[in-house]
Amino acid sequence: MTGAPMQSDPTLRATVAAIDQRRRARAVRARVAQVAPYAAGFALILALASRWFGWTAGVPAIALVLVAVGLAAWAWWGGRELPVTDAAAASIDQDANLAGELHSAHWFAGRPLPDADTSESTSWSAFHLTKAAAHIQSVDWTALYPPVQATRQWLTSGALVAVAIIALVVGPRSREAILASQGLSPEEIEAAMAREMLPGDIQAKIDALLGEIAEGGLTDDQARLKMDELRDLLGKLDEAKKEAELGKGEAADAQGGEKPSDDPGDMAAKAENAADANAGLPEDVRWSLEDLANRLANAKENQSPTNEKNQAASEQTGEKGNAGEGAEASQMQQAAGMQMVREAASDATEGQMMQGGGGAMGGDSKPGAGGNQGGQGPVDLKALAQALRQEMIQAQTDQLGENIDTELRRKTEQSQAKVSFTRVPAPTTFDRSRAALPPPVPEAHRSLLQRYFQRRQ
Amino acid sequence: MSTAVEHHIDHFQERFIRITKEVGRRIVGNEDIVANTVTALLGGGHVLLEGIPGVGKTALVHTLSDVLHLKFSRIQFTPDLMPADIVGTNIVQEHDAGGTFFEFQPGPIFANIVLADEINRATPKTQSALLEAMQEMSVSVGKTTYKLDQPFLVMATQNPLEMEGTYPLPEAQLDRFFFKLKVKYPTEAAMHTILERTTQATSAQVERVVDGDEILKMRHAARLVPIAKPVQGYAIRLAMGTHPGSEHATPMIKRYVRYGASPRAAQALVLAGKIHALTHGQAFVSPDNIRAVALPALRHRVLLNFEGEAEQIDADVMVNELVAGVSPDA
Repeated sequence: MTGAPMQSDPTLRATVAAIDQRRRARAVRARVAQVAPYAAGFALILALASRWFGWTAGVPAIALVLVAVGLAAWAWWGGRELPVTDAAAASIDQDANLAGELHSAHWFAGRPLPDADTSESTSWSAFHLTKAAAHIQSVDWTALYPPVQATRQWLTSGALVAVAIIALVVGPRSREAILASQGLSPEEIEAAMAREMLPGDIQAKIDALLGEIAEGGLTDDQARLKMDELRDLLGKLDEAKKEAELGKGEAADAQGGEKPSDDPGDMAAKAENAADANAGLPEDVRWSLEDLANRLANAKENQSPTNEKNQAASEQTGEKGNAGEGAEASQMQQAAGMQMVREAASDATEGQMMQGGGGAMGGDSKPGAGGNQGGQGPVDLKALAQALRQEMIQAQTDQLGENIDTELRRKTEQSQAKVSFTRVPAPTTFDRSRAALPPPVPEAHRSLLQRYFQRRQ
Repeated sequence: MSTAVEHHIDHFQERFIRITKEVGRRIVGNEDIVANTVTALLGGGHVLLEGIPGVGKTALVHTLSDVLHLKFSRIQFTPDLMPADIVGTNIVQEHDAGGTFFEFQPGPIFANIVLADEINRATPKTQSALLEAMQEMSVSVGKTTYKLDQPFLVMATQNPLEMEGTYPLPEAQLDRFFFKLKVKYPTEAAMHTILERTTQATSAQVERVVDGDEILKMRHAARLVPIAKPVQGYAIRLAMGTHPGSEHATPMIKRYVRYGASPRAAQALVLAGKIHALTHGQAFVSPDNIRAVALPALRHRVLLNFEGEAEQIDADVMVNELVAGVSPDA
């Protein structure tokens, strides 16, 4: 005979398998019911985030479907048909208080039929199986493993999913998301956001003044008056921008230092246009307009690339603000053409060094704090060499108490340590008086100890 | 077929209950000791009874022999007791027609129930003579081997208090006892009953419930009880768990045990489990049955190391911890 051996009692095995499947399915459904509200909550959060940030609605929808399918698959997988293990049979036995009968009978039912059909042991096994089958039938398995009643969990889950769907349609949206939905490009969105940060009345007045200047037809006095007005408004604009920056400083830091920069640029362009369009204006008015355009352009430059570069460099070097300040200072000093050779050279080098240069030095370690940062920004090798030379000269002339406030070196480095070491020769003879005796055997253990060794003999 | 098996189970259960009930008429309290003694008898093993003097160890054995209608003998073990005093010896006899010959004079071991009182007072040589008979169910005198009558049950007693001048049983010989039972001091209520029964003019009479043949039939029936492999595996894991190097051993066993139980322990667990199942009307052995007999079957097979003895660790605690720690599921 080939194939698997015949089982003693396949009916009993099938019954136990059905019970086991019911038990497992129930356990898994209970777990699914527990997890479902959390999954629905996740879908709701995803829907809200999607709506707020203006993501496509497909993201939460797909996530919701995936979660639902996952839970359903889990429930199906847990309740699928499986061969009953011995441990599972023991567990069912324990649940039904059958005192090991089902566990034992399940094993005997899976054994091959014995050849000797009338042996005494076979009759006992058969009797055991018959009795066990009767006891298994008498158990109310539906009552023992009732269907999972998780109405509250399912209702909660359904409500959360419904709220998620509603949130997808009517949930709150950020200003950026609203602008993005109007088909604006990211640059336009950024500009619009920056414009909205300015007080409306100042913006309107500046636009009106620039418009009047651009139209022309003003007398010299009127033009000067308008220019003074425009300067005042620009002063207010600066104050308003500073307040806005102070208020949003932390948020701007979190976004990698992005700051609105388009508004001054726009106004610079307008001022420049006004200056170009009014060639007939008095010299001082034209100069004022050009000066205004330059200031606005400088403000734009200072706000965007330079600041970003400096900030990135300071982040890399670990120095907060020092590098950026040094760089700005060096630019200002160089632009002014000042003749402070030693200080200016030193400052400029520090600023460049703090930014961490690449170029010929590559990724090699560089002097100063934040070395080994290669790869970003050009390095003025001449300035670097000059700075190194300068530092060496300064180091030669450094005197404690004169141009150095504190001595940071350790005592041992200064050869001023008070601790000294003396070599002592090791003892060459063993001193018995220093040897410790073994601990005495407690009185209560002595007889045991003696008996223990006697027995070993 | 099923009816015959059912009849066997009912008969076994009824006889077992009758024996214990009849013994209980004289022995007050210690019902579990009585049940375990009968279990050992039906399992074909021997019992080591441990208890302080006067708690009814000898009375229990006497009563049991009366109830079972079996031949009873008692050997008081002393340091000068010789093996021949137990197994018997050849003595010179004279023929009527003249001449002499050797005739075997059986010792007290030739009985169905033998009480070896204070077994640890005899020398190891004498102990060995008894323990060999316990194992082989036969004694050899000279060149002749004499079979012992069945059923054969040795009930050895020892006093745990007076250890001076005693010869503790070697580990190998302890292993030959099916169960080690600790006879507890009776409770106050049990003491009242003992005094009422033993200080009156008449003493309680017991009936003979079963005889030797019936005991042998019951032994046979007990061996027919089927045991599933997983349950048998549980008994094996329990026996192996008493070894400090076993993966099933508890931390306490790993620390305080020198040697664990032998395979005989697993045999005792399974056999006693079968009898325990039958006494509860079951035609199968469950882990609960094994668990119920684990303590008397294992406690004397756990040998403490020096640290365990010095700390006076109770083997019962370790066995209970083991039973609680080993899962019936593999």
